[in-house]
Amino acid sequence: MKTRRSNRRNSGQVLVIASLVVTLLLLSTALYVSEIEKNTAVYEQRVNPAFSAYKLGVTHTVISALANVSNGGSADVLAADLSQFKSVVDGHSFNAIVKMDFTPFNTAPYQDGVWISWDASGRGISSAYVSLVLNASGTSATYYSEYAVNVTSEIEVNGHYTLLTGSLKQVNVTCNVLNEGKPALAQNFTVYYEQDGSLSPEEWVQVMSPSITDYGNGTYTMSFTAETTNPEDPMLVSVHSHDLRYILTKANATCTQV
Amino acid sequence: MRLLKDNKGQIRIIEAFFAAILLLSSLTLIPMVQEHSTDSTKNLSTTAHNILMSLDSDGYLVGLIGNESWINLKSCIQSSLSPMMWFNLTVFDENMIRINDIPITSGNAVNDRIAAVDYVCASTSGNYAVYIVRLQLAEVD
Repeated sequence: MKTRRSNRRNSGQVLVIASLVVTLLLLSTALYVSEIEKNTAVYEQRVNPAFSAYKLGVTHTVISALANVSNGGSADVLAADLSQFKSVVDGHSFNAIVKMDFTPFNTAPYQDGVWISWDASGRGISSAYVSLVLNASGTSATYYSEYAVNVTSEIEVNGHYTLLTGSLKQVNVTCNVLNEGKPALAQNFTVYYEQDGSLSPEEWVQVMSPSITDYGNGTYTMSFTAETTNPEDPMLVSVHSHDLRYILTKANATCTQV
Repeated sequence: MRLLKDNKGQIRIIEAFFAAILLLSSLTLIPMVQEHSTDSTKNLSTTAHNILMSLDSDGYLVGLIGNESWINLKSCIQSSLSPMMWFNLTVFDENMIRINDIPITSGNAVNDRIAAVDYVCASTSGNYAVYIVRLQLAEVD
């Protein structure tokens, strides 16, 4: 009788221990699953705010390099500035290991990421193009982004003139300023005209204080009087423009007589 | 009589189950508390990022740093935040040398839960420079 009683008590204890073991098993499984979830890379459609900041930084870097190159700086500036930006980003990303790779565009008309076309057709272009790959590996997520940064300043120049007296001419030039193909504002203009209307040799005369009208939509008109060597000399004008980003663009155009 | 004796074991089993359920339910609460605190810090980080990005979008932030206009920079940050938020901003050059010679802060921190964001910004001018802006934010309790 005594033995049976103790057996009955023991069976209860065994059940308690068994239930505790089951609980422990359940807990360890839950912990294991949560740990596995932590280590798994999560694909997120949401844009990482740091990535947007890096993209903005790269855009500013390209603008700075193009301002430098268009104003007479070396074409190597773009790669050097991007390397500088990359080293700062690589060294100061605390939440994730960020890997940034950039490639200046080398397909014609771009060379080392830069394209400068200041021709006589009335259109001047200063442009820089860089493709970028951003890779970030964090503790809980991995991000990947691939994009291109294109900074282009452009001016379109055309004009006409009327003959005043002798070889004195009244010239009206229209200039459209564009940034990335959209109308933009200019910081300043410098206007020149060819002394004898011929580019050999080049004898550009700077127009002192031309009358400039700003229409506020990227369109500017410049009026001035010019005196060429002979009355029949064609009127060649050259417009140099700095946009608000201080990127220099030049364009030459032949004005038509009206 | 025999059935009554058997009930003792069954009650222990039920007790053990209740204990297990209690244990499990208390454990499920832990991640929720952690998540809440992580979320509030995440929100502060996002706010800090958004403020710096909006100031930097047109190169204004770098312009203020380049001109060492610390008072204007402080005003910009202050006007972007609610009065119930504390901030501290430090500007470093690329070698992590502090540039701002005066503190750009709204006072002493009033909360231990501070979110800090390091923002890398580049100048748009021909004289290229890279700065690291550290913005610390905390909510006033």
